[in-house]
Amino acid sequence: MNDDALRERLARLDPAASPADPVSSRWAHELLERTMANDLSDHVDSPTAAAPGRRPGRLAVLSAAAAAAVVAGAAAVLAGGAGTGEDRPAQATTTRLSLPDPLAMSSCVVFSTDVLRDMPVAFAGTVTSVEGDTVTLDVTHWYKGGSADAVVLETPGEHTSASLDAVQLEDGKDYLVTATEGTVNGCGFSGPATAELSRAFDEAFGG
Amino acid sequence: MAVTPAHAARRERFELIAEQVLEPLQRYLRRRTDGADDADDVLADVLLVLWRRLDEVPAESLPWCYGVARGCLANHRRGEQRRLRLVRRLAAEPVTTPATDDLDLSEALRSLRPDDREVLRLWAWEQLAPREIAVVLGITANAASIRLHRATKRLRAELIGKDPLPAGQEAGRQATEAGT
Repeated sequence: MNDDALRERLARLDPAASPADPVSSRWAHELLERTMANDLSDHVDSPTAAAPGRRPGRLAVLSAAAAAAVVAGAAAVLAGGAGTGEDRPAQATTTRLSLPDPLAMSSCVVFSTDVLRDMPVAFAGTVTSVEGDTVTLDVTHWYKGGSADAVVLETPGEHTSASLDAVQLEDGKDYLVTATEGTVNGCGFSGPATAELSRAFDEAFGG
Repeated sequence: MAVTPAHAARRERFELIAEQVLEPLQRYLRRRTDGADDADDVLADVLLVLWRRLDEVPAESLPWCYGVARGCLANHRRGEQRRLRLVRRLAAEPVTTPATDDLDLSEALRSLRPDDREVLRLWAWEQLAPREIAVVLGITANAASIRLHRATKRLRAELIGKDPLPAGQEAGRQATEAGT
């Protein structure tokens, strides 16, 4: 019996010869929709992320930060200043996001607070460094979907400068940023922290 | 949730790949689980991995997806074993009912080691070539060819009632087989 004959004979043992549910079936459709409803961006900084869905207000963040500082201080004292570098509460955490590819921006959803509200990741930050296509922001406030101290935005592809909606990001300036699937949303859903955009973020995410 | 171009593009790519792999994955899982419910549970896990790791999926997506399914299946079995240990019989692998009366072959296949059996199933049931089997198993194409060759040899030996390649000799024979 040669290989082909053996393979054919084996294939006849296949217990899954009965037809599978086609991808066009309602069952398959629902399964795919359920899968895609899983929000990836809640995990942008999962190693250090807070519980998903947690949305503290500004005061809560401040008091949590103050508490963390106290704990970190206590830990340092207890450790006797050994300086192992493993005192997690004292370490700054960083999340990385991609900036939208300037060449890929083909269509925009019309800006509205309702759309903004659905963004899984939203924060306010101040740019602390611009190095070519990479921009670092110190996070001043997480509205949603993260807890890192800093966020690094990287430009995909061969671009030499970091820009958002064709405007370069500037050192020292405040920005409001949303992201989906690890990529910053342009189209006005992220941008310089104007009074207008700040109001929209407050309205969408409850401050 | 499809509110941004990035999200819409991701959904589109996911749906495109899912269209190609959903039915083969169902069959793959049904071949290796006790019942449709188990298969469906694992399928949901596989799709979630696919959704989360969409950027890593290669152009030839099916063998990669089989590889993911293999891992999810192993997790599922570990979970099942933890939950149901000693409560009910849990074979390392469910015994699937042959769809044929070729009992000799069915028996011969069942008597092989799990590794041999799996490589034969990927070859004959999923109809994969050795280089695709390699992707599923996370080994080199050369190693997949050797395993397949060895497995067919052992299967034939089982069919004629004697094993010319007892366990333990394969390391020594590997170089010879690689050249064939």
